[in-house]
Amino acid sequence: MADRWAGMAFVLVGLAQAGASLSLGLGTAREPGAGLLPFLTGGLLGTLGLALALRSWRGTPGARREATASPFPTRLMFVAGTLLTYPLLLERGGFLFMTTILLVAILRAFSGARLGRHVGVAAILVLASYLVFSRWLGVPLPRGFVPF
Amino acid sequence: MVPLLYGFGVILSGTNLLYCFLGVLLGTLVGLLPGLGPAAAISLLLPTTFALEPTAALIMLAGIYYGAMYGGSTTSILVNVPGEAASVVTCLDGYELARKGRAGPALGMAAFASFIAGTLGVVALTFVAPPMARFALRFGPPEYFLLLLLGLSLVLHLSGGSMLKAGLMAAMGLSLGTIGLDPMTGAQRFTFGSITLLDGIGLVPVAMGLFGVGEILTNLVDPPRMERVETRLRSLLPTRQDWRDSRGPLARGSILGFLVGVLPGGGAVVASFLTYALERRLSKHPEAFGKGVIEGVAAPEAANNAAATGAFVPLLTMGIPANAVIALMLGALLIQGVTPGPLLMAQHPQLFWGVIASMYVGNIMLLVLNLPLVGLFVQLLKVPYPLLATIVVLSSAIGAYSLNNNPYDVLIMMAMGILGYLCRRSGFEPAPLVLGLVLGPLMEVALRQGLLIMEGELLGFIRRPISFVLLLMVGFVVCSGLARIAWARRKRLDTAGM
Repeated sequence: MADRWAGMAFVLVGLAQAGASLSLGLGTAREPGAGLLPFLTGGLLGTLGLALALRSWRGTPGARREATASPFPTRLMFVAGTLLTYPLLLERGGFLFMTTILLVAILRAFSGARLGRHVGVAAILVLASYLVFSRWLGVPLPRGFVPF
Repeated sequence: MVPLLYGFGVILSGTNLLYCFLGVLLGTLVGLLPGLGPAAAISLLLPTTFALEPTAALIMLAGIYYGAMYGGSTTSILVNVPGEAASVVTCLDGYELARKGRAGPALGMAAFASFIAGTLGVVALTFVAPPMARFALRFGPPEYFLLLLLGLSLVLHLSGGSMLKAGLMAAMGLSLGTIGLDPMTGAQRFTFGSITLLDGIGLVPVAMGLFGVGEILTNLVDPPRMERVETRLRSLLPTRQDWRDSRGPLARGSILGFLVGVLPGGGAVVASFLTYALERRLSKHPEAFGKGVIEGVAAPEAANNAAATGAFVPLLTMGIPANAVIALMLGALLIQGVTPGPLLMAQHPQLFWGVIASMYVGNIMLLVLNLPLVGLFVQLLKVPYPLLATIVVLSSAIGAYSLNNNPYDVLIMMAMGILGYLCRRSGFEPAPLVLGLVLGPLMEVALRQGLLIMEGELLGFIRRPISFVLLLMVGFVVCSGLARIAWARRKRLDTAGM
C-alpha cells in the first residue's frame, strides 16, 4: 500500500514538473532550452513512479513484502514537528532559546530521564556551541529576543 | 615517482598533516559509533571545509572516509553491530571470534588487513590514476555526459535494494538539481519567487538532512541493539597460524576490493560482501565461516579499505563519484571552485598528488591509532546514544544555518531529514538521491554543450568512437538491469507457486 501511494505521488510530481518545464521552453536539439532536463527528469520520475504503483497494484510477493505499513510513533511525530517548527521560529526566538527547546525535545524523545536533567544537558551543549561558533569562530547566529 | 614525492611535500608541509590526522581520527570515531557513518560525518563537516584550502579540505574528508573503514570493524567485532555499512560482514566471524575470547587477534587482524589493503590500494591508485586521467583528456562534453550517465546507471544496477526505487531516488535527485537558475541561460526554474531557491537546493543541507537527521529519526524508532562481549584485550597481535590463514584472503580482498571500488556503484559494502562470498567458496572448510574464522575478518576488512581507496580513481581522474560519500567530496570541491576531472592533475597538482600522498600517511596513522589505542576508542561506545543524537542535530542546525545565515537552509535540512526517515522506512535508499543531485547539473551542462557541439545531431553520439563505446556500455547496463528485474520477478513468482 505504501509503495502504491509513493508511486502515485511520484507520478503527480513528475507530471507537474514535466508540465511546468514546457513553459520554460524545451528548445531544439541544436539549441536545447532551460526546460529540457527538467522535462526529461520529470518524465523519468513519472514513468518510474507509475511502474512502482503498478508493481504494487499487481501485488507481486516482493512488492507485498516491501509494502508493510510504516509505524509513526507519537514521539517521532513530536520530534518531526519540532524539527520543522525550529527553523521557522529560529530568528524570532534566537539560537540560544530555540535550540535549547529543540535539544530538550530530542532528549525527551530518546530517554525517559527527568526533565530538569534534559534541560541542563541541552543548556550546556547549546551554550558551549554558542561560545565556540558565535564568539570564537564568529558565526552570526540569530539572537532573537535574547539580548546577547 | 617525482610527482608522488611532490605530494609528500604537500602533505608534510603546513597544516595538511594536521588535517590528515584530524580526518582519520574523526573517521575512526564515526566508523566506531553505530548510527553515524562516514556520509553523515562528511555531511556535517562540509560547511567547515569551506573555510579551508581545497587540498586540506579533501585530505580531511578522504581521511574520514577511509578512516571509517578501520573504525567500523571494532564495533562489529566487540558489539556485533557494524559501526558503518561496509563492516556488516565483519560481524559474522569477528563477533564469534570475540565470543571465543579472541577479540584481540580479530581486532589486530582487522587493523593489519585494513592497513595492508589500504596501502596496496593507494599504490594502485598512484599508478592507475595518471594514465587514466591522460586518457580522459580525450573526452568532450558528449563523452562526459555518457560517462556520467554510465556512472549513474551502474550505481542503480549495483544498488543493494530495489533497482526501481533506487532509480526513483536518483530521478528525484536529478529533479531537485534542476531547481534554481539555469546554468546556461540564467532562467529561473521552479524557484516560486523564493530568493533562497535561486541558488538551487544545496547539497549540504540535503546531505546533512538525509544522512544525519534522517539516521537519528530512524534510530529513534529502531534503536541500535548492542550485545557487548566482556573480554580483556590481552594481545592484539594475530598468531602465525592466523597470518598463514589470512595471506590469500588478504591478497584477494585487496585486489577485488580495489576493482569493485573503482566501479561507480561498487563501493566498500559490495566489495566486502563479494570478497566474503569468494573466500567462503574457495575455503577448504566453508562450514566454519560464520562461526569465527580469522579469514572472515581479514578478507572483508581488506576489501572495504581497498574499495574506499579505489573509489578515488574515477573521482580524481574523471570527476565521477563512485558512491554517495565520494559525491559529497565532489560537491565540496565544486563549491570550492575546483572541478575534479582529467585536468585536475595538471591544473591542481598539489591537490591531486597531495591527496594521494596523504593516503599513505593516513594509513600509517590509522594503524597506530587502531592498534595501541583501540581500548580507548572502545570506551566511546559508552557515550549514551541520546547525547550523540543531540550533538548531531545541534551541529547540523549550526552547519546548515551558517551556510548563508538563512533559516530556510535549516528548514530544507530538517525536511530532508524527515524525508530520509520516510525513505528508509519504505525501502528507498537515500544515497542515489544525493548522487542525482550532484550529477544532475553536471550532466545537464555536458548534454547541452554536447548537443551544441554536435549541432543537434543526435547521431553524433554514435559517430564519436569513445562516445559510441560508452553508449554501448550504458545500453548493456540498462538491459542487464531490466533482465535482472525480470529474473527476480520470475523467481518470486516461482517461489510463490504462481
